[in-house]
Amino acid sequence: MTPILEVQGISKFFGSVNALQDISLAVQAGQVTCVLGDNGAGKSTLIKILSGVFGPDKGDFLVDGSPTRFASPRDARSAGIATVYQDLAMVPLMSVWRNFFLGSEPTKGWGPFRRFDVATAKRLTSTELKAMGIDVRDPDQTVGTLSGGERQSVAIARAIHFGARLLILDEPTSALGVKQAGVVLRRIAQAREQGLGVIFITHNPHHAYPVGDRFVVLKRGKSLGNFARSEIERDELVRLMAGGAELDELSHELERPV
Amino acid sequence: MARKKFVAGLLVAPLLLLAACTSGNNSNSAGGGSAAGGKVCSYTFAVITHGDNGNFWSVVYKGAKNAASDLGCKLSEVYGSQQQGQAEPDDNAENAQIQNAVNAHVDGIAVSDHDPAVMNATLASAAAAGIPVVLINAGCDDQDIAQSKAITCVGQPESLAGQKAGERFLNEKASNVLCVIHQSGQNLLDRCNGIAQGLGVGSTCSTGSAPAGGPACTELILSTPNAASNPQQAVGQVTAYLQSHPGVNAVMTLNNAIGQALVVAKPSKVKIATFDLDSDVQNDLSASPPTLDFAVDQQQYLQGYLPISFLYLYKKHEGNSVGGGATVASGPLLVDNTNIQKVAAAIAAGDD
Amino acid sequence: MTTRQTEITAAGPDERLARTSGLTRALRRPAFGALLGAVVVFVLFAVTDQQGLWLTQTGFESWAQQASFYGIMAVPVGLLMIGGEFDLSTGGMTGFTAIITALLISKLGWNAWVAIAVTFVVAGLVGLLNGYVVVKSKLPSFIVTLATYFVVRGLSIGGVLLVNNGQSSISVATGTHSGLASAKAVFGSSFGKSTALPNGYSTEILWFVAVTVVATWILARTRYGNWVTASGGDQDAARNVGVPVQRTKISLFVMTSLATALVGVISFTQTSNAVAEQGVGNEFYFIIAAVAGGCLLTGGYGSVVGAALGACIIGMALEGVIYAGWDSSWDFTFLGAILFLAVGVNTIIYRRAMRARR
Repeated sequence: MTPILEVQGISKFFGSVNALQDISLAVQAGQVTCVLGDNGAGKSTLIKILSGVFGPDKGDFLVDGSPTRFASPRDARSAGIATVYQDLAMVPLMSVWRNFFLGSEPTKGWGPFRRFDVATAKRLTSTELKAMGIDVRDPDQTVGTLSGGERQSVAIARAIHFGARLLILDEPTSALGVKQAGVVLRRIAQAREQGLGVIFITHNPHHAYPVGDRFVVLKRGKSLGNFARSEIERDELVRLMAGGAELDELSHELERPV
Repeated sequence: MARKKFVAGLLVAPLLLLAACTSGNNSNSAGGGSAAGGKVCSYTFAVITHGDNGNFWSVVYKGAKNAASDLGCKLSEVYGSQQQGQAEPDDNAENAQIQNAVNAHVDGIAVSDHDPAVMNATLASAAAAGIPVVLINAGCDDQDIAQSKAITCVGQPESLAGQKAGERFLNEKASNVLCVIHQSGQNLLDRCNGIAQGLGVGSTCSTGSAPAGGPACTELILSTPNAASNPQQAVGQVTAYLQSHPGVNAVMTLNNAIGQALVVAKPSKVKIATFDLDSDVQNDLSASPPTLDFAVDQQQYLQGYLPISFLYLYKKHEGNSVGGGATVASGPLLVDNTNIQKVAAAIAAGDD
Repeated sequence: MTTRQTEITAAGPDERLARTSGLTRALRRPAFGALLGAVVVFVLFAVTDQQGLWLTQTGFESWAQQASFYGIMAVPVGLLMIGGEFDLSTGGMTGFTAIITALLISKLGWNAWVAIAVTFVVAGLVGLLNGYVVVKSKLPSFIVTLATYFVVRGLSIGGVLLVNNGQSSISVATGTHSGLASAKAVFGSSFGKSTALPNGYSTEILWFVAVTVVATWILARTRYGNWVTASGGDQDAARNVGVPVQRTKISLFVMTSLATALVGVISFTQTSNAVAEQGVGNEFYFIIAAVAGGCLLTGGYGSVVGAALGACIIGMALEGVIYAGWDSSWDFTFLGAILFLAVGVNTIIYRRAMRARR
């Protein structure tokens, strides 16, 4: 099956800084690819390339098997690639239903009397969120009053509703507590079951392992490996991320005589 | 040796020629306005006031500029401290401006002593530096003239103007007077207090509620924002006051923009009088029947013109000082339906 | 209670389940606090009214007219604030536009309607300039529009003195200019004259209501309104989902400037007179009205109806102190106290409503 999105050997330079070097990954429908890396690994550059903010300087960028160049994130969106940023692209002071349809408001009527179909917007939001297992206590409550996990869920629900085939999630669990992170991981699994592809970017291997089908580990712009789930154990993943050998050395140093 | 003297002579001769030419060349004033009447004045004066760009002050400035041009003098500046969009004049800014003029050694300063507590000291220092000072419009009382060491003050003693107005209201039997104050400033308070004196009801106008019958003088301080610049909104408060106090039968506004707005608002039957003239006021006075009872003409053109003349005379004829330490009154002239025609020409020229 | 969803539910929704009552939902609307504030102020002056005029047509008209003047501007200023920007040129513009109209009619002899149309165009261009500079330079709108204010003010004063023989106000006699009578009828006249109210109600009140209705509809019931709220709340987030933030903001500035033209034309036609320094200083009152009406200074939240109510509070305060017969030297203190009270009531209500949902 052709991957929805694939990059082969891409690199990106900012001036003399080599932010990404020779990175390859692919995502199929119904599959979750986790991109792991500590801070400074190049994750945000990668996500910008995947979501259409800018293109790679070297290497191939393929959508459904054909080479593509996105002019803007809006282009990526039209191709069915939706990116959910850490800041969620949600406006905290606005209600859930206003946020849900922001930029894609349903309308009724013609010309100067063309109005925002508020009734439909509220109804659809309610339905979609219920379907995702989110109970919205009050249709008018603002996004700012939702918990972190709920906000992420709404963002994901929104992306799916507007026809995303591929979700790129930028550190969705990083600011959440354990329980909330669990909520989000469930959503990711749910999305996979619905047949979407997911790229899950995180620095937390404990979150990535339960839901990932493939794992790409980045370190300082380079790839440390691209593993299928069957090829790697969780502890090995943790070690790889934390810089395996270095951590062993460090723990020796830090060891206290009992 | 002889050659050196010859060369020296060659160099000196043109210089002597040049000197001879320039000393005889006094028919054109150096960089001044056109010298009407062949007058020449080598002095530079500063005009520093608390004024804004409204109807009243633009006439003062015109008077000063005309005087300078008539005499051939230069004006280094014509400054009003209320120019920056404020509701009130900026006394500190004006004071700083006076200090600048002193430092720049202008030949004379025509200045409004809007805040004597702050400005008198600065003005006295001007006198100490040999710079003559004539006060305009504010500070026109003997005490301020003495403390600021000015030659004189050209203005309309505010309380005198108020008194004349008050006396007139009394004669017309419209003696329950509302005095509308649109801005802070002792000069405005003095006008209202003058009305009280003219009416014979004491030395000050009272605030609070107007009585049911006169003679009486009550002050209304407008609280709409920037009342002088936004007369239509300000007048809403005046009409409400008149509705609440039906005993009031005369209103004195201290600014013609407010006066005009009140005339347009057509409140119940009260006599309206205002300070300061312009073409709107002229139309109101000339109308049949007149929509305005009378206007107090400060003749502020003179407040701009005379100080420049006085400063010139002082400098030119060393120490010719006018006024004897007292105010030279530029007004008041009460203009009404009967004498408006005479004043009309001056209004049309923007001189009144 | 309500049936909960079933799919992946082990985590479940939060334990905080209180259903929000209709009342709390109403309280949460930003305009509600402003409404309450307005009612409090109204009752205050009804009680302290000395001559029984507050509850008559006369009293109503006097504060309604004041409110309309501040309100026609408070509404677009509030909308702009919700969109995350400020416009400090509004006060000067209301005067500038009045002066343009007056000069075109009196000095160039143009038909009044043509002069009015040109005035609106000029105002729209100023708004376009404001918006464009703010959006492209990314400078705070506070600063950019302050610069515009100075330019406009200089033009107003200088222009008037230049062409008007040194007089700083321009008057036009109604009968002698083409179109002026009809323009006056539309913008600057009155209706509803009666023995109880011989001067009638000012047409400005109708314009105020119209502007409020249109702006409310725009904010609450159009896509554009959604974009405005989002642009003020988080413009990066808005841009990320495809909201044309720059176009939205520029159009908000244009609308604000067009509203200043409306006020200028109304002012001029009411009295056939324009004063050089007109309007200066009012820009802050428009902002105060919007804030009293629940618009957040930081943007992204607020209500246009609230801004209108804020203007009503200002109008009531300015006239109410007169009817109450309080010593006029204390007017400013009372005005400040009343505004403080109004904003305070509004904030308390908002916070309480926000807390209730948790």
